[in-house]
Amino acid sequence: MKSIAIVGTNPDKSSNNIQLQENITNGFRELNPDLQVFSVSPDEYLNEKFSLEVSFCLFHGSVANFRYPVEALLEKGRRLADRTAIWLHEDPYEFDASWRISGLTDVVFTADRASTYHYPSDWPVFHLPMASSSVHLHPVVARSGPDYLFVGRPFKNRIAFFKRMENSCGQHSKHLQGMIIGPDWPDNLVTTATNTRISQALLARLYGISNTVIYLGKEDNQINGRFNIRASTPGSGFFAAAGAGACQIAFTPGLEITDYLDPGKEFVLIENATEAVETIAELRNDLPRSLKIGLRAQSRVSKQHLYRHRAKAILDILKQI
Amino acid sequence: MKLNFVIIESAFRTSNHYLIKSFINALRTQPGVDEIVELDIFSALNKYPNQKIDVLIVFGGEQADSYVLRHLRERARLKLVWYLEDPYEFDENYKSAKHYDIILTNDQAASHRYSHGAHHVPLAAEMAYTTSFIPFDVRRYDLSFIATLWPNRAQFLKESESVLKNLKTKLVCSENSFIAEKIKQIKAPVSLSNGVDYLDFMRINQQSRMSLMIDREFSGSGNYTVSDTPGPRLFEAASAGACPVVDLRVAGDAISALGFVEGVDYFGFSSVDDFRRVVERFIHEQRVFEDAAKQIQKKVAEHHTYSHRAQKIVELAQQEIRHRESNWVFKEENDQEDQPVRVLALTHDLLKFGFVGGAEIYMEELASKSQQFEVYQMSRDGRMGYGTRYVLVDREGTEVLERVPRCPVTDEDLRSTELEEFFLECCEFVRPEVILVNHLLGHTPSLLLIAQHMGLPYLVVIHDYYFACDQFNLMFHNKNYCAVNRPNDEQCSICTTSRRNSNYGAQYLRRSVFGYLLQRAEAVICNTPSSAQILQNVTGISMRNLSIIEPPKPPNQTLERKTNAATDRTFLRVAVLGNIHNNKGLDDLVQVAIKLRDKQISFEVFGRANDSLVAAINEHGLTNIVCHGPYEPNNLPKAVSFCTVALFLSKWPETYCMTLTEALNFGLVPVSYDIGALGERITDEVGIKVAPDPLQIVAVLIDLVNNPQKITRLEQLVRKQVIAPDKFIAAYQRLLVNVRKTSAGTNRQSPNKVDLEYLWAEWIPRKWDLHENIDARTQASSTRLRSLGRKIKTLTRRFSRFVDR
Repeated sequence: MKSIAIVGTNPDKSSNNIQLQENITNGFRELNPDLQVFSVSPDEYLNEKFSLEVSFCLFHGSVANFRYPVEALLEKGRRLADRTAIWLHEDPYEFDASWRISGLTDVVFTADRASTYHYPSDWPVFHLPMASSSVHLHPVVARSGPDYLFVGRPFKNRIAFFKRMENSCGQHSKHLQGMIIGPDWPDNLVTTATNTRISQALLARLYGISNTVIYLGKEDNQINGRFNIRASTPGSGFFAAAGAGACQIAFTPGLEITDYLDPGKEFVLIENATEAVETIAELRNDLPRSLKIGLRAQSRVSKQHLYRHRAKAILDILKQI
Repeated sequence: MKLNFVIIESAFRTSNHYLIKSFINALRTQPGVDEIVELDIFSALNKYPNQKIDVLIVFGGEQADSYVLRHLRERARLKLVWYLEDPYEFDENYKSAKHYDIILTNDQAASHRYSHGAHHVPLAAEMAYTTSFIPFDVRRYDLSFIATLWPNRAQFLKESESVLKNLKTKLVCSENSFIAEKIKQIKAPVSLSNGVDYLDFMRINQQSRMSLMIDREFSGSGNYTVSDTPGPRLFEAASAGACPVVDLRVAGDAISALGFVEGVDYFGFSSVDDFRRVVERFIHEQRVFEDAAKQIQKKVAEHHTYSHRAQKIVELAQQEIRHRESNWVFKEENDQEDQPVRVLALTHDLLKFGFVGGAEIYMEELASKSQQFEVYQMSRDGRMGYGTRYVLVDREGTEVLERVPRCPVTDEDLRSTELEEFFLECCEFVRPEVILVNHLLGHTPSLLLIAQHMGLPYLVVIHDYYFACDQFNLMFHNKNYCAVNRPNDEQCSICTTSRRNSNYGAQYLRRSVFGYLLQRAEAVICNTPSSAQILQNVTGISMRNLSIIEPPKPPNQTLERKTNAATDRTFLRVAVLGNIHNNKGLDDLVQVAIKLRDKQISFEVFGRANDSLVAAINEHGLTNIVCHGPYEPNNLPKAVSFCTVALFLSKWPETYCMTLTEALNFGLVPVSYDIGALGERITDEVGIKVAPDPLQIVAVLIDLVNNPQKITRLEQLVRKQVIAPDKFIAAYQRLLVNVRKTSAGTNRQSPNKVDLEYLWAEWIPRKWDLHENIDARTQASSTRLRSLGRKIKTLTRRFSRFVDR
């Protein structure tokens, strides 16, 4: 394989994917510096004048935006690249939109393991979790930030979790200082949220200095009515924070998360909001432990969960089929 | 005896898709199994249209009498259904059971209630999990409970809070609308979420010492509320190595009936106090529980894995087939090759309704001429406005069915329930093998999704660019050809918004749905390579089954050209064939006529001249434009024979242009813009083509009138581009006969509403153009209706007064 094109599936206007585009592209470049890796925006790719032929084209993103010609994009990929694949980041929340792409790529990668076996049996589907960017691998020396940090959007389950956390704070309520970063959080939470867009590097620093970072899965079914698939794989936020050396307190209904990091050693797995509060209070008084957990997580990520590793997995699977 | 198995999950929506996967994995390992085909209810007939089936296994049993299953049953030697929702959905299951040869049910008691008898086959566990056992002392949790929170379960959790707090628990419950209120009262650390995936469920159980089992005591449909057989969770948890702790009030006897012994394989309780005692014992004698967990895991491995179920089912099937070996004959659906192919064509107008173009004429040619296929046309009545009346006509043109939708279909509809119903009615009547989409204007794309679902292959004929844009001739909002050449051109949004006040991206949504259908057509038939190319450029879709079939010359053309000598060469009569409107270059014609008003040139319009042409003629005093009125497509008027040149001023890339064929066939020298099929078909030898600019046409015509010998030379070369009707029909015949082989046919009842319900749910919206004016329009139409109502009332009053007098 000599040349690779990385193309998002969401229009350039929605900027959410730009960071991801960069991370995946860099992943391939880090894997093999001799590889020609082209990062192409979908609008550019659809341009009639665009005719860059490559050995492999990787599309990535969501396919539920019906106001964007995803089919045409994948079709063009088939014309320009010897082989194509798509990495679906929004499974299972947008699983029912996948009919759009049936038969349009050689391989389908899904970021959620539970979604894998729901695809028709004749689809070439593989599980490929999200990862951390190597930009996140920032040296961490001390904790000096908030007691807990959360970065993300306010889905129903997340708001409910924070409310429960507040209810069970009890004696800790006065001491614990938290920080939420993300848009559209309700005002009635004790921890007030900051709606600001921060760079990847800054976010990594913030993860690194926070005493703990809370990871909550996402429950945001958009079009997942057919099988009502329950997400099982943690999202990119989990890997990003671990890569940045954060001591994560993770709450997920399932246990797949333990495949990626070792609970107790590389992150703290909790079962409910009360446990979260207790753990945060505990770690607040034991910053060396928080640092130790964070460093172990960072080391594991640098060995297994960078986009470079995912790039390798993609190329290995392509060789197999 | 080895058999082939076709297995299909009967419900479209299910949260337990893993069950069928686990079962199939086990079925594959059975020695009596030759081949397994797993079908999806949505695409089953499309992927597996007419093959023979040894054993059909309908898994789950919900909606076990759906259209797809009816269809598959007809081809199956042995039909088997495995009901998994007994007894909760027993009434429905009972109704559909009569269609199956072997009935399996997960519920012991229900198995006796089926009138033909049923076999009790409970769910099970996967063998793979039973091979490892994680020691209790390294497990994460004391007790796990993962379930939907039915009322009895919520009640139990609430009552046993004090017991649970002594354990390290994992309680993951999915909410349920029936008990939303009760949940709020539970103080135990229950994690309310969507629940967990099967793989996670197994994992949690591998990490739990005990697994709490409280059976569901509830039915949403008013059926039996208590099952007497444990659900899959018992087997799954046991196979993962957790020790089941079971509420005996609900499932005690059933568990014993399966060979599990209380106190040895599992622990039971009948009240919260009982449960407390079990937990206390666990705290003091964990070893006993670990032994029980090992014991029950072993029992599950020996008797209750899907391999055991698969073995039983294969044996049952083999016995039954042996029993009925002699009297089963598979009826080949498509062994009637000598029979004409039954075709249902979707057209946007009919020849007999008058206002027609090439598309209808070719269709009529196909429908009436060939003996090889029997074409019925489902058409919009073009006389009645956009989508207000639909008919089905047979090959003689007789209307056999009619539908006037209460809510007229518009061009922004992607679905229309009334039209879909009519389509099904037509299918029922025609029993087509193939759907031929002559034009989708006036129809909704949903009809083709239904066709797909029914296993009916469809062919799409491209007469314009309706599959790429609602503005089917790709005329930009400023009335010029948009020349858009890529699928996401911003221009498309600007154009659609300014034409229709659509919101941003509406056109892409439309293109997404139409493109999906185009991609999945058995064949896409274009008249010329240029039109295929333009369609591919705009939609961005490379069509795999592209065929180019050139339409025939207009049939029955009887008029003969006058001899050259008889034509006056000093005066140039230019024929303008076909209905003339803006797409066909009305404005340009007027401009050219103005420039040439003093020359020895006249423009003879043979076709319907619209009001703007008449107005322009009057305004500019254009005596050099003569309107002869419309002619029947097959019958050129005599006045044409005085013309020597035919002028084509289409500003959009026509896909063929039938009037060009007429002109060439008649020996007229074509002069045209170099665009679309016109530019492609008119070569330098047979005519003259220029860039789309009226001044260029003026120059050409002046040259021709000054040099009549040029016309004479060109006249020698025309009359070449003619396709015989036989060749045209033969090309279609080849395609249709080929496509018929992939058809599931419809020699049966059409799907009903319930069958189709799930086709639409999340997939395609009702309309592609969701602009703000919808409310305004609805309001306008209701205002119109109200005023009509008032008028009728007034008239009735007057009439009754009149009668009274």
